[in-house]
Amino acid sequence: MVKKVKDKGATKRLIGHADFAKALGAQETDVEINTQLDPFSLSSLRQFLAGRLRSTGGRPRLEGTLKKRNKVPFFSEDWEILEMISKYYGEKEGLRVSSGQIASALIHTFISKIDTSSMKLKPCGATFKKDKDDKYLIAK
Amino acid sequence: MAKDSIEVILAKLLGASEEPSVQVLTLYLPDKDKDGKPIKNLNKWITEAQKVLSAIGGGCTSMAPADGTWFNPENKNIVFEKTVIMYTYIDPDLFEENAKVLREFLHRFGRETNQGEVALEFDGKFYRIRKYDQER
Repeated sequence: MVKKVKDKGATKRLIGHADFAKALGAQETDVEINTQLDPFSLSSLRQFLAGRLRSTGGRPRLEGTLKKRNKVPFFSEDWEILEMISKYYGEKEGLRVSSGQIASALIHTFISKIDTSSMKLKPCGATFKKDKDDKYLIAK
Repeated sequence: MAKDSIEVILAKLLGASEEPSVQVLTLYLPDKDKDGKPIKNLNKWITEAQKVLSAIGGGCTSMAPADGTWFNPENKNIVFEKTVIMYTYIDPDLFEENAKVLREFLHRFGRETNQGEVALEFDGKFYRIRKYDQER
């Protein structure tokens, strides 16, 4: 195992969170940020989910997702984190969202960033034809 | 068993002249208001924020605009915006000296650019300002 370097030197004194919030007239949110990751991810993910969750009587449905559920093999550690985020949203922010819905939102977000313009492939090997209204339909 | 870490005093090792700052202050400046309308004179606001952060941390770093969203709880719409993220490692003395200037800037930004909230991060926690100070 590679050894880690630990800095045991003194640092500048710290400003407390309560003093910080009071000085700026800001409201604490209980959102803790792991700055090694995208610093805005938890908040922007919540906004994405809140904007798409629709009440269906039971657990809210994520608007735009397929009714058919596809099997996705998750890494065990990732699934644990998804469950943790789901629990966090439910308990801290009153947002009822499942681990699978969170995974769906994350996949959607990252897929939308992939440049597919240079991929000269038809999605899923399907062929398309236009209908009378000039809309594309999948030809069986 | 060998130790899995090496302990050093990094400032001494690197010849740094003072103790390191460890608390990061990050501001988020979007280009839209709460209704999705573009903010006028955005560069003026960005420059002013950079000056305020520089006064608090002795400098600051701004990143290229990132894709951001904000959920407007009033009309349930999501505002899609380009957000400039800028940060500084604060000097506690300079922070205390300039806290009023920072507060005045953040509240004026929220008020004059019609923001639903002003977002900022400090030392690993996320903060929102929703009620703005009155104009003086």
